[in-house]
Amino acid sequence: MPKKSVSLNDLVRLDQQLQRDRETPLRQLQERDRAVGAPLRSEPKSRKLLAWLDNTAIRGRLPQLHNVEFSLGFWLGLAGLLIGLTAMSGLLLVDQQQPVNVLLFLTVFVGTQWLLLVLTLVVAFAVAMGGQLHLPLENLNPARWLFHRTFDRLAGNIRWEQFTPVVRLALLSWGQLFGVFFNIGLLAAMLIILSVVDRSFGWSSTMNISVEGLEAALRWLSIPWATWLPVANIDAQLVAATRYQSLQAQFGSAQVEAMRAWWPFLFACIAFYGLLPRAIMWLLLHYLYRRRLVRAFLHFPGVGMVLERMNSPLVYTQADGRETADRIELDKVALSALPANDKHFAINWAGALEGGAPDLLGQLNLSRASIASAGLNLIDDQKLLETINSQSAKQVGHDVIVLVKSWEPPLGELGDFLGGISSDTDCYLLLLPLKNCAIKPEEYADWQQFIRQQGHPRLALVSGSGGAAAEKTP
Amino acid sequence: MSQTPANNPPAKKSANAIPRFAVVGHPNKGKSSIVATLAQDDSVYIDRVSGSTRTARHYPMRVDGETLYELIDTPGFQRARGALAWLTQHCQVVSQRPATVRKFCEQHKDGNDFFNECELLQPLVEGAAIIYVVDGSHPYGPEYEAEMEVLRWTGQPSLALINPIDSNDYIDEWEVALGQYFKTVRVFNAHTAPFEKRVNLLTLFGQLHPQWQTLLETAVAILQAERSRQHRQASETIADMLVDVLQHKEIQRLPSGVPSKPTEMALTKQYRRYLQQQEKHCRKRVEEIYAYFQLEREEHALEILDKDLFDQQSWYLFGLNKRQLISVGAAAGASAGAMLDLGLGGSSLLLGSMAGGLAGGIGAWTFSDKIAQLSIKGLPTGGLSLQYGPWEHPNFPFVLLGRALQHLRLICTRSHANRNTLSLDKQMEENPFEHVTAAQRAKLMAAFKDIRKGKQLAKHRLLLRDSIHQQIAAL
Repeated sequence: MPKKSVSLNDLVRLDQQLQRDRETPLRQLQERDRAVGAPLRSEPKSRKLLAWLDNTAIRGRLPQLHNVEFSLGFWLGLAGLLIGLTAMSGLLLVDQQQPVNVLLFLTVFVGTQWLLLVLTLVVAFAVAMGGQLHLPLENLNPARWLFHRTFDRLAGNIRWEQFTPVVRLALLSWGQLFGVFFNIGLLAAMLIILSVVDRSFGWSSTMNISVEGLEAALRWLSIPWATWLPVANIDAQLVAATRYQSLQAQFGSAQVEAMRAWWPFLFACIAFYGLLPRAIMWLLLHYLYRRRLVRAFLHFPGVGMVLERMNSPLVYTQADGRETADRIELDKVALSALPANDKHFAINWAGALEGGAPDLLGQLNLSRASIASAGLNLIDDQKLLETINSQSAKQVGHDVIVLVKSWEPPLGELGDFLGGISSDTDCYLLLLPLKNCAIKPEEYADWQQFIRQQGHPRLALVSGSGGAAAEKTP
Repeated sequence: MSQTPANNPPAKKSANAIPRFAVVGHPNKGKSSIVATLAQDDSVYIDRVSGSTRTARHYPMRVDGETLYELIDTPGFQRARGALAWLTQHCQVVSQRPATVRKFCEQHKDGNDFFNECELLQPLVEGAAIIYVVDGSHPYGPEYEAEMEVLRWTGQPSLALINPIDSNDYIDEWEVALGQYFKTVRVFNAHTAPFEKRVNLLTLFGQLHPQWQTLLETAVAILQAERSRQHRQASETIADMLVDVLQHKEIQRLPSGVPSKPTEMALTKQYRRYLQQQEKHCRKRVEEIYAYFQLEREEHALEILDKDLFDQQSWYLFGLNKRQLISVGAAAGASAGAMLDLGLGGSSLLLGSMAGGLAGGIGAWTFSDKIAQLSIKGLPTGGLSLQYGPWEHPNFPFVLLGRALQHLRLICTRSHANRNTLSLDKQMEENPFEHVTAAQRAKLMAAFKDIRKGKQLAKHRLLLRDSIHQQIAAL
């Protein structure tokens, strides 16, 4: 049963497998992929591909990548938690003589996070839209370092350019996960420290900030929880009472008491402006990342071909194995000149004269009427053979010229006929060219091969084509 | 993907129901060529010298292991008159003729005299239909009559194919002669028949027996679907190669004080080698897709295609010519200028588009001949980073695409019976972008530029794939 969801690990495996497949013969790939794809006909594409990967991707270091996304999430979460704990502890515990400046607290833990959040949104939007916006701040993403370190070590030769948008969204998503745990760390540290240490909060600024102005701003900040979490609301009295000067050493007991009342507001600020947006952002980016991941998985270069091979029936029209020539190449016999003897026994084999050039007949002192026909009827051929052989026995001195069609291949029938001629008789196969054509080299080769295969000791090949003079033996 | 009949394996059937077609005839008349073409098998041994087929060879069309039909290549007749004489001698009743042929095969199968006849008649005895092949470039002769008569004795359904190997000179003569023995006579040139003609012939084979028609129609539908798949896969392979190559760059870091010149040269070399390897690999894959497995040995003879990718003299043959290049440059510049006009709400009176077009056109005209540029950057940690590529010359992607298209055309239009080296005829020497509109060229150029920057790769890959597919479909 193929697994259901795609992971970044699958994308890496896919890339590596496709790179390996480049050197594999296509026929082999077709057989392999169809075997995997045939039983999965009704499965969606991504599950088919996952099953294909499980069946084809080689084992080795790749299984170590299996939980890499989980591991990265875990380590980033842990790092965020620890850094959050440390940061809040640092702020709350560094100078216990002075109250914690609320303005500094909000700037560091809310303002900075919001700035990063907005930048993340801009980049995420650009990446999701297929843009290429790169901000230097991205390099500060701890997920980036951890990711490259892990994947480069485990996966080696990855074509990163093929899944840059996916990786960027993954990094942004992991960055938010880091942020979620960072905020959890902040809140946890705040709760722990404030439950054991008596810390007070106040506000002080070198800027000209009025109590009313700050109170209005803080009230605006507390809108999300104002109605259902009154304990975390701030009033003008508290704002006025907790203002202090940076070098102020003494605080009245009423002022100290008032200063303790800030923490629910600050806690709510981190929860609502740190943790909550980060969590939402993480979910959003995770969704975008997953969507992009599946898209990248299905549109990875080469995947279309894999799916095609999985879905298409394996069609073979070829024979099994390669055919090779099993003909034995014999030495070619040389072409002979026309016989000098003027006593010929001429045979028109299979109507060769009908299609061939009759000019040669004059050269051979032959008239059409003196030429016997053969190669049409076996009984006639037999009678002709008997006549030839009886002439030979009488030592009349006739040679035999068989006029053959150069354009037709020599057949066994002719071989049988020639085999029936007495071995004492000079025998010539005269190749007649097709009307208006020269005899082709492959036709010569065919007949030369044929002559060599015959057992007749006095059999020669003569060309009836002027064009072949150069090939004739003097 | 929808499940068309062509995507589904055929239902199981008994072995006897499989249509079988024995390709028979005189030796050296193109029987093997016809089988090679229909079976799309370039491993068939084809020789201009006769007797290259000594034994019957089977070419089943298998779909997911199920055989739909089978072609059988057979050796040519050697002693047809002898065989006919034997048959006549051993049979007095016409109804016994097929049985007599069977007896002939049983009696002579182990002997030498009628070895070829037994090899070619045995499939017919077992129920194969007859595909009788003659050469239309040579005249009809009386020696063929015995062959056709022997075939008639088998009682099997038959058709005759005139294969004009060298010319069409004697086709008429053959049509008359064959018409005496065969109900169906067709001219089929195994070396030039396009795909559609090949599948039409298979459909015709199906008409030889009423029970075979459906199976052959299914087979043809599957072959057509397979052909479409081949086109898609080839388009995708070429698009992938282009996307890969057009982004490629070679980078080398150098510590401070190390001279950069040798590295510059090495990077240039590596870049070129990479591009050549990718192009070669793409070609090989395309050949495999169309079931050409024996073409490697012919690579050296690819004529113009084999000219080096970086041989700029051949660039205008494959890529854009100067005029097309200028128009593409101008169109790209104008579209960039149009964005400016759009941003100014039309208050620029389209000056942006005009200036952009002019600048783009001049840029394309005066562009350096270098394919790519070498850039050297100082590193913050000391030393240098040298980078060669990606491509710079606006014609380079078109040359790459044009070369791939030419090769694809050669492969697509080639027959598996063709044993000649791949060569470009006059028609092929036409510029591959001749019929591509200026707008399409500009669109391609914009895509190439995006690919160079690694932008919207998936989208542009699809665009390229579809453009290539269109070109194949237009063949």
